[in-house]
Amino acid sequence: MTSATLQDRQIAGFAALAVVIHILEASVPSPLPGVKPGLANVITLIVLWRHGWVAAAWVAGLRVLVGSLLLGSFMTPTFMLSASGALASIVVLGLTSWVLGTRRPWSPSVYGYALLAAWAHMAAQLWMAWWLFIPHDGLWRLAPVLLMASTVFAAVTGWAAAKVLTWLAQQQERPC
Amino acid sequence: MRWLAVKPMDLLLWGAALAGLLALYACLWRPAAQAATLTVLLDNKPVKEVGLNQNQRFLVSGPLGDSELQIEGGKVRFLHSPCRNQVCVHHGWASHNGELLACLPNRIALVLSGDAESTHEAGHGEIDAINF
Repeated sequence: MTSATLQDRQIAGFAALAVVIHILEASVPSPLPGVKPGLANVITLIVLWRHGWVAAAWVAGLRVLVGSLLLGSFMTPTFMLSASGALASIVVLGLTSWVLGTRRPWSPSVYGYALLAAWAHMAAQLWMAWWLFIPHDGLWRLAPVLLMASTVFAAVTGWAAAKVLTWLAQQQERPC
Repeated sequence: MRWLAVKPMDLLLWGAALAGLLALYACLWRPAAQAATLTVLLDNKPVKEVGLNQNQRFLVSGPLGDSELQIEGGKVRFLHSPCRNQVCVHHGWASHNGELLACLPNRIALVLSGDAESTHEAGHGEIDAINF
């Protein structure tokens, strides 16, 4: 047995934070199924920025798995939707950060990444819902409404992630 | 506050997202159009097809007896029906593309299709959502 590395501990800590946000959010009633703020993605974005894509993928995966186990929704339709959304957004984040980077002049800032993650999440969920549960083309009529909600919440998560990242950077610069 | 800086790629992405949203709304949220044809289904099989532009009344015989339908001013309704609950009669008029009226006891369904204003449009006459 090898002991946990520092990175393992960091991932576990971030995943725990994300799980807490995920569960708090699940208790907030939603006007439409599939619409929720996705504030747990703030953690994914922060980890992507500070610890790279592999750590972010771990945090997102653990969040969905542990969150569903604690909520009792593991392997239910809710879980399928949530997992497909998380998978799609982490893949999109990975591809974008691989091609465009996070700190180059032409790379998006957290606002851009928040938008990409939210849209990927929603598109995958919608497709999954159509493919597995409601194979009726009328479902696509929900797309504009759901994606509009994603866009609004992407602005919120992007702003929150930017705030936290700024704060963390300031803490690091300050000598203890 | 360099983390809060919005970069050119952000503007590009957000612009694309907003344009995409508008396009989606434009494509998927078109108002229902006035239907052009009425198809009468008996036991799920089409038995009669009439244009909604001719005002008329006619009878369709189902297992319970004759249901009387009325077409007037591009709208259609069940006028009389031999069924017990008269749900079909109380439903009233239907005139939009994709709408559906049905009398389940008498096995009659009315499907409205086509677009009275533009009949060349792609996918015309297809039902994309039914709601009661």
